[in-house]
Amino acid sequence: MAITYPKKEWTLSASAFQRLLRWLDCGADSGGESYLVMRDRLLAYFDRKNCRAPDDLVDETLNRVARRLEEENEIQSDTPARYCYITARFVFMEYLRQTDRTENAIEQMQLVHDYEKQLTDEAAAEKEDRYECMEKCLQQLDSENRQIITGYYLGQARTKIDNRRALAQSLGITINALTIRACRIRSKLEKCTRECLGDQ
Amino acid sequence: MSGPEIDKHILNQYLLGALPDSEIERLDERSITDDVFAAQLTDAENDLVDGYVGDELRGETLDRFKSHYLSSQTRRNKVKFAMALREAAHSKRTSPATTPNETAQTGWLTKLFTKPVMQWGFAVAALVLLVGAVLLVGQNFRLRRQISQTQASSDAARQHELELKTQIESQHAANAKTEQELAQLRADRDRLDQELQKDKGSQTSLGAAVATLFLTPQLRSVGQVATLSLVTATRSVVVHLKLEPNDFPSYRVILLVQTTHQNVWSSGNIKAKGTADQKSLSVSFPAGSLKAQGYTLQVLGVSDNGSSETVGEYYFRVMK
Repeated sequence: MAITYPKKEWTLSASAFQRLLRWLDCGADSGGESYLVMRDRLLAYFDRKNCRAPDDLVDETLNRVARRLEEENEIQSDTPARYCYITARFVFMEYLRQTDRTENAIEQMQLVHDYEKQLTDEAAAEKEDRYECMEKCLQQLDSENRQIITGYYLGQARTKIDNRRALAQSLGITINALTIRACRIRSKLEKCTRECLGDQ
Repeated sequence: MSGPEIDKHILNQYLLGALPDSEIERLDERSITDDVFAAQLTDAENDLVDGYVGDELRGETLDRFKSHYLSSQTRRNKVKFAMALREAAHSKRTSPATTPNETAQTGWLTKLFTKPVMQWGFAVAALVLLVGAVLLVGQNFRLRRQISQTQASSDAARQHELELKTQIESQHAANAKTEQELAQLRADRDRLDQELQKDKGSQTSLGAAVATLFLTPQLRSVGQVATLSLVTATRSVVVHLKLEPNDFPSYRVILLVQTTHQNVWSSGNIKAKGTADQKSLSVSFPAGSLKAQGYTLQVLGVSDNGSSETVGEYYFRVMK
C-alpha cells in the first residue's frame, strides 16, 4: 500500500536544510550532529510504532519542520526537540489513517514467524559477512573505545555488572559516564556495520 | 531538559509495547526531547537485546520480545548486530593478540595468565602437580593396603590371644581341681593320723600283751607308713584292715616281709565285716614273728569257686 502525504510537494532546498541544522543546534555549531541525533530518535520512534517505512516517516517529519522554518523563519512555541516530536506524532497519526491497522497487525504476526525462521536460517556467508564487518569496524575504533565496547558488553547478569564496575574504575570514570560512552560507541559501531553490509 | 529517571523495568515494558497508551505517549515524547532519557532508553534497549542474545530473557518478557520487538526489521538488525558484537567481544577476550591498552585494561590475574613465560610456568607447575597427585594416589593405595594387612595381623594376634587365654583358664581350672583333690587328700590324711593317734592310745591302753593296728589302703600312696611299736611283753598283734569295695564273699590275708616278700604269716578264709561299701577285716598274728622292719599285709579276695586275687596291700613298720 502506497502512503501519500499532502505536504510532500514541497522540496527541501539546501538553504532550508542549513536553516534546519542551525535551528536544531540552538545557536551552536554541531557540524550536523544534532540533526543526526534527532533523525535517529525519530527513526526509533517510528520503528517502535511498528511503522513499515520509518525512514520515510522521518524524512516527512523533518521536511515539515524545515518547511515551517522556511515559511516562518523561526519557531518559538516549542523547543526544537519538542516541535519535532509534535510533528512526528502528526505524521504518525496520518500514517495510521492511511494504513489498514488490521492488515498491518496480520503482517506483523507473519514477520514474527519469518524472523524466527531467519534467525536459524541465516546463511553462513551472511553471518560471516556480518562478523567481518564487525571486526573491520572495531579496528576503526581507537584502542580505548575498542576496550570499552568489548568490555562493556562482556558477560551476563551479575558478571556483566561487575565487569562494568571494574571497567569504569580502570578508566577512572563513573558507571553513568561509562554507560553514555558505551552507548555512543555502540551506535557508531552499529552504523559502521550497517554501512559495511550495505543495509543503508 | 530532563524529567524523572525511569525504572529499567518500565523502560523494558515500553520497548516491548506493554504499557498503556497514555504512558507510551508520555515516554514517546521524552525519547525525543529528553537527552538523558534517550540515553537511558538506548542503554536499556541494548541490554534487552543482549539479554535475548545471551538467552537471559524468560517468560512474558521473552514472549513479548519475540512477538513485538522482533516484528521490526530495524530491530531484528539490532539483534544480529548484538550477536556479532557478543562474538567479537568474546573472541577479543580470548585472543592472544591483545593490544597494550587491552592488556592494561584486563585484571592482573588475566595478565598473569596471558604472558607466555607464565603460561609455560603454569604448564610446568600443572604437570608437577599432576605427577605429584599420581604419586600421592599410589602412596595412598599402598598405605591402605598396609593398613589392611596390619589389621588382618592384628585380628589374628587377637584370636591367638583369646585361644591362649582359654587354655590358661582351662589350666587354671585343672589346677584348681588338682588343688581341691590334694586338699581332700590332706584332709583325709589328717583324719587318719588322728585315728592312728587314737589307735595308739588304744594300743597303749591294752597294755603290752596285744598290739592293735588300723590300716587303710590309701596310706601307702600318701607315703606315710603306719608304725607298730612293740615292747617285750607284746605277744599278739591285732590289725584292722579297711577294704576297697568288692564283691568277694571271703578273704585271706598274708603277712610278708616288705623287702624280701618272705611269707611270715597267713590267715585262713575269713569273712569281712560291715556293709558292701565299707568292708573291713580283722586279723591277729603272734608278735614274736615280727622284727624291726617293714611288712606288707596282702589281702586276697576268695571267690566261691576257691580262686583268689589280690584286692589290696597294706604296709606298716615295726619299731621295737
